[in-house]
Amino acid sequence: MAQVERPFPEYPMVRFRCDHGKGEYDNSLFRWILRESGISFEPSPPYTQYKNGVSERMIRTIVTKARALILDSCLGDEFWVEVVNTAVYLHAQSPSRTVGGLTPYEKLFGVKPELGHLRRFGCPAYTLIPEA
Amino acid sequence: MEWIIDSGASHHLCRNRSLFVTFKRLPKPILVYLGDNSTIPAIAAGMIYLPLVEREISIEALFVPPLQTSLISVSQLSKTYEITFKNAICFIENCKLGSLADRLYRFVPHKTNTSMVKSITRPVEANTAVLPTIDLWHQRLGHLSHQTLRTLLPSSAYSSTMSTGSLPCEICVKSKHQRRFERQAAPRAARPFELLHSDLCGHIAPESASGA
Repeated sequence: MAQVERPFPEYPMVRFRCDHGKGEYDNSLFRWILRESGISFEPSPPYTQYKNGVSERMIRTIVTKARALILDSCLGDEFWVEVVNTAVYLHAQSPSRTVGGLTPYEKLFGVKPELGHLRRFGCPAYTLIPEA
Repeated sequence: MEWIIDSGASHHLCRNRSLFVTFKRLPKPILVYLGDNSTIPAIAAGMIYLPLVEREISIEALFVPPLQTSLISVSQLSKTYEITFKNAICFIENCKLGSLADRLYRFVPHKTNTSMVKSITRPVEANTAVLPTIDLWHQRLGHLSHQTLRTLLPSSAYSSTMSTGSLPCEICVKSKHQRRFERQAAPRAARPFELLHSDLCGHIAPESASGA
């Protein structure tokens, strides 16, 4: 939570919506942190995931993208973490209709993301070993 | 990562993508026939280095992800090397390749020491600059939909021949697939009392009239 907020002091977090994670979210420490920072807590009732729709839909988006990457690269399941991280990264730099055709990156930083460094996931790469 | 030295395999087959030094996707998958008459597809081919104790040998292998273990083909090796099996050990020109364990000859890669790796000249590929195509950008952006991609690229990139809307991409279709489940009814009992079903419940606080 602090990680999300600290780099962007101009955008304070106001509301926190989540599922009914008994233990993960609904504990006294977490509630205390939210109360202290003035964030309102909006958990959904048990067994009503659809009330947490934005998160749940994003999971599908990310997982589908990750699956495409892992299939495309022919890599094994041990690369799942890397693949999901890449999917999240790419998603942030791809235009999204919900942010008005802009990329989430541009919405946050005000400048367009640079995509020239992107390579196909799983393509051969070489490391330069400087002659000692 | 274990390999089985197989005298019945016609090609070297590898299931681990990260071992390949060169990697070329096959235009059409090659079907590999297994002992039980089933087939699995090999989707790519490339070069692999097998580190032995004193040397390293390179093999051209097929990439077959569904495989359980990778296979070293004796018939392929024997084209260039002398292979001998003696006292439960498999030799490749007096250098130990593998040993008999659990009724199969197995090769376990020797821990690659870096000095050896350095001395090997890797194949050099000249990468010529290619203009990224729409498909490449589609792949780079994690298979971004063409509808969105269209807003990013200059309209000239989408020529009139491609204006049909969706360009087929096998990976995209695959990644949106539902997993198929093979459901089978649990076997039923053949005789009375062969299978007993039980379930627990409780603890129930108010006692029953009989005191249970």
